[in-house]
Amino acid sequence: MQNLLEIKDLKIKTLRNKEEVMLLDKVSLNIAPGQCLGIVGESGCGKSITANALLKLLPYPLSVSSGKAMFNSPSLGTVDLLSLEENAMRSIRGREIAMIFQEPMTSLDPIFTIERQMKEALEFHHAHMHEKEKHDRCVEVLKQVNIPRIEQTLGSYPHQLSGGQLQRIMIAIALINTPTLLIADEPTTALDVTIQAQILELMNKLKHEQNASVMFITHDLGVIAETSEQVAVFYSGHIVEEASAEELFYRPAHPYTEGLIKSISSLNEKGNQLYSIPGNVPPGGELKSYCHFLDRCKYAEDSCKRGLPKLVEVAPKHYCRCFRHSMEVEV
Amino acid sequence: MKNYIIRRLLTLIPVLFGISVAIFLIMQLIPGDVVTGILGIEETPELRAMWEKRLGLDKPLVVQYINWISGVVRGDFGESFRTGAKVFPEILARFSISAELALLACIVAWIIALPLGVLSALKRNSISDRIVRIIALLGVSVPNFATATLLILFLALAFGYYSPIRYVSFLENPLVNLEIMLFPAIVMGGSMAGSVMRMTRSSLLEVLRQDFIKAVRAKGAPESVTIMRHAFKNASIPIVTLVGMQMGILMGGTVVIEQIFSIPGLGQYLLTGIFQRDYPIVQGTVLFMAFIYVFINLLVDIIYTYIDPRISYS
Repeated sequence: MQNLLEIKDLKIKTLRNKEEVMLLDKVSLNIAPGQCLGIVGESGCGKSITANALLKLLPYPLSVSSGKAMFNSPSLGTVDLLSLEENAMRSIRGREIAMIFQEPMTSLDPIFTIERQMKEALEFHHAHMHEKEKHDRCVEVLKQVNIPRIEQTLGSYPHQLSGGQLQRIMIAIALINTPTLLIADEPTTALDVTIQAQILELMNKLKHEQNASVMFITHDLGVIAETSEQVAVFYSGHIVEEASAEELFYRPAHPYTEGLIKSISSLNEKGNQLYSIPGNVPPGGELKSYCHFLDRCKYAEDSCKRGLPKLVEVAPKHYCRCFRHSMEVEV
Repeated sequence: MKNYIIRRLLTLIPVLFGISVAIFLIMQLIPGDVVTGILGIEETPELRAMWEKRLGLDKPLVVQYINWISGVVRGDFGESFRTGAKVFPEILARFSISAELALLACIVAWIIALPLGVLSALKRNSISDRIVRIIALLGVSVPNFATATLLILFLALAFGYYSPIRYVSFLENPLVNLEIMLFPAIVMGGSMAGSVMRMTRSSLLEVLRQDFIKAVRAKGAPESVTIMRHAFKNASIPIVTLVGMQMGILMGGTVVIEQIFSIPGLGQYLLTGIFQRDYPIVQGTVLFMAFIYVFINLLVDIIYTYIDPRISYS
């Protein structure tokens, strides 16, 4: 397998009033070694659950209903993450695939020191590592993420540190076992803008240093522009467009992507009202048999109701799910 | 920390003062008095006046109170109206019995409640969770005098077993002592277990929903580490609070259980005092119980700081 990760036809369901409800459908994605894939979309469109499904961390009552996620594991060979048993999964979590979360303030256990929690990440995968070795490794990664006063930070509890520092520490914990894939689930959303920029810069630097692949989940196209080579746009549980970052920004094919790009605020358009896409994301579980974006689309026609458009290649390596580009219907 | 403890101990003074006034006045409100009890049908106005003078009941209430409380401050809780025995040594002796029972009851409660509570949270909405929740409901809602009576009857009728009637202290004969204490401890622990189980379940579920649990799992933690090291320790603060409060109440002796199992603890002493209108016994015991309760709560507050670094009192 050439890619590091190949997700094929991922489907995720949940239980609502004892009925199965589909939250995510027909999601296929590839991540090449060393590549950063950006996943963008509004809240509730299925970005985070895709990431959680890869590590089998979906909260009850969500579950994967079908699909494959082939991962090129350095230790286990090519494995399907979704059908991996718990023990094997545990050896991959935090060692080969690491995750950074949205809320740094609540992602660390409040009653243990930073040092204890960092060392833990080593302990789970290297049972016989020496205390001194562990300590040195902690110091080393904290240096990489530009934490000042390292020894003092190691002895601190999470509530004594700021959100930006905590997110750096979360990144350090993610990097401590030099993973091949890093999943960043909205890592900058909870931080203020200046800190956001620092964290993004840091992530870019580390990606180059460590040559890790990154899956970068965000709702902010601006962040995507700064980090990702490849972009997948999610809408209401489906991928509606996928292309290289450059292609996507210059030639968006899907009306939703177009709207997202238009709604990025720009200093040059002073005085103009911010653009926003009318309407809201339909609630999960109402996956309709026609185009999900229909109700909010400015190009919508009656003929759009004939079915769910298929994700087709509209330009080389540029995929889009819209009848304006292809009449093909998903079966 | 030291300052905090001193401050907390100082706040004990007004609390205990308030309780002492309240209990003193309440005793005056109960109909009937100790003299009637002592004299019975032989009561004559002369005899009554003599006894009242002897017990100091002829003085104004304020003077009676001051006489009593000034003794208490010096560690002298007075003498029993009936037997003339010093109250304070008796309280201490009986406290050790009640405390032993309370401790055993807590151990029983923990052994039942903690594993079942954790199990019920981890297997939420499963059959085992439902069973545990029904047990907890029974523990909380069935009054312990009912379970106590049923247990005694059951043991007697089914096995012909009666626990020893005469109380033997632990130092005298540990085995017999434990035999006496076992069943009341099971009854008390059982009813305590209900609420502890519920608290463990809900508190653990609350913690398991938090972000850091997912983050711990994402580091590759074995489930046992996630649950015991991270989730349970975080969930333990409300459990410690609850157990501390129950412990505070139990340490002061439980009137009903001690009576049913005829254990000469503080509760029984208090009850005898009330029946005989033996003011020094009642006042002294209640004051002592209040002190124990407040003291255990202080201990709980100190334990918090060891569990959660965010709590500090400096």
